Amino acid sequence: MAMPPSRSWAELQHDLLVSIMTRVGAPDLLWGGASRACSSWRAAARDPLAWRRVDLRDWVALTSGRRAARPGHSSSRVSVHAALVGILEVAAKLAEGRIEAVLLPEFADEDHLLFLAERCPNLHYFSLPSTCMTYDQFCKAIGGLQSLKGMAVDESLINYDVLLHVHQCCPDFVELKVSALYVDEEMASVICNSLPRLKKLEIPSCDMSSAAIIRFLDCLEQLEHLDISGYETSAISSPVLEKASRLKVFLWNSKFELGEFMDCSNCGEHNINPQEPCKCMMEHKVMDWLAGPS
Amino acid sequence: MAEKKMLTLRSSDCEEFEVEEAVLMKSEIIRFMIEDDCADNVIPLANVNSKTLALVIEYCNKHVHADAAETTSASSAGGGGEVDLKKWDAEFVKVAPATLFDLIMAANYLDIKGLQGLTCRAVVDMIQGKSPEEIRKTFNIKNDLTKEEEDAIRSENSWAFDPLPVRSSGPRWLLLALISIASLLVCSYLLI
Repeated sequence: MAMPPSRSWAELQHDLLVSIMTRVGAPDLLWGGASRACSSWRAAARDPLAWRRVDLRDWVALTSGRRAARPGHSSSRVSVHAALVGILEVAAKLAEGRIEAVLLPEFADEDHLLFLAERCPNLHYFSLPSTCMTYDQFCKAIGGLQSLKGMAVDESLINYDVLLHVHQCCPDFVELKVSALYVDEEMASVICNSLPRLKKLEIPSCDMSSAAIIRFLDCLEQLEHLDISGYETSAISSPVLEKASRLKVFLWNSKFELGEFMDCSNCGEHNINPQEPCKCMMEHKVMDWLAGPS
Repeated sequence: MAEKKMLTLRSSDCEEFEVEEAVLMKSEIIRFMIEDDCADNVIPLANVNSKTLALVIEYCNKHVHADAAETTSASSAGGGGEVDLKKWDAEFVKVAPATLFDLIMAANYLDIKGLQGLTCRAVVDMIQGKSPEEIRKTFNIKNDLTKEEEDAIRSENSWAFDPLPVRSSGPRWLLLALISIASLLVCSYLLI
């Protein structure tokens, strides 16, 4: 009779604990209970695999978690800018320089992207919401990220020279997500002409003209996934739907076309805040890239 | 209707479960055995007890039949089925930590990808935002971290945010102290 397996969580196999830790957010991996429950959990929380994907968007959770872990210490001595560099330093160290995806908070700027380019050259994906980025520094950082496959950026970076630089430096670049209020045919042309090999394009919660959508569908021959959900003024027409039928995924749900709420067709949950993309999409996309090219 | 081929699984406590072969395809281990034609009528599973095995079979049954239903209604609106399945999954993992532990072990042993992901995410939901004490209580974990390890955790974390930690010890503090002293010396020299 075989010995029944151990039922102690502290003795769960290391690789199983690591697969759990890969899904735990950075605040818990750094300050929270997950990394301090016992020695085996701590070892798993520090495993490089747990740090392949780093989500730092929720800065409040990060800073409050740190404060809770170290009561009595003032948090005003370091600027948020320097603090973010510090946490990226820790993350890069724990990942042994092999972070693959980073989601940065709103105040992150080109300095943080340059840091990542220097320390984690194999980065596959980053999200950088900043709306005031200098082109030169951004392009310099991109030059060091030759393994980049995708990025999420603000419309202020949608510029032919910038995107062409991405296309030239990153041979595997196939995914783009843009935060924009309005996309017309001109902006669509910039994206199509500079990044002709896009497979995945996401421009959620944006007013977009029919001409722009048709431009994307006509010019991006390899496009498989297009997400323009969350708009307020419908630009969906029969020609659009006909051209979009070749796509594997076409998300065009709108609160005005479905009724009051937007349905995320990925996880099916009602989203009462259509200005914000469903959280599962980010999770899904990052995990897609971590899974590697199909 | 073609007769469905059945297989019998035997748990570690010698309880037997008769299951459709198609349902067991969810397990990569069993699928390889079936495809290599080396699965006997009864497959013994020495590492899975009957309570856990019943849950695993329930999960596989649900997902195999949900997949079939989705295929059948591929041409119609298939969103509803997917939503229901997610809700079912959420209820399925609302179990005691000890049971969840057994499910994780079984999913790993039998290599059932969907169940592995589901159970891992369930654990994550139980530990995010919790203190070490809360986690130890929930999962019945004993704290074996040494004083040195606890201090090392605090020291490393403080370095990330506080360039001049007050109580930390070690080379980083020493380096910063030396830099400060050097700066003072330079200022004093310039003042002379």
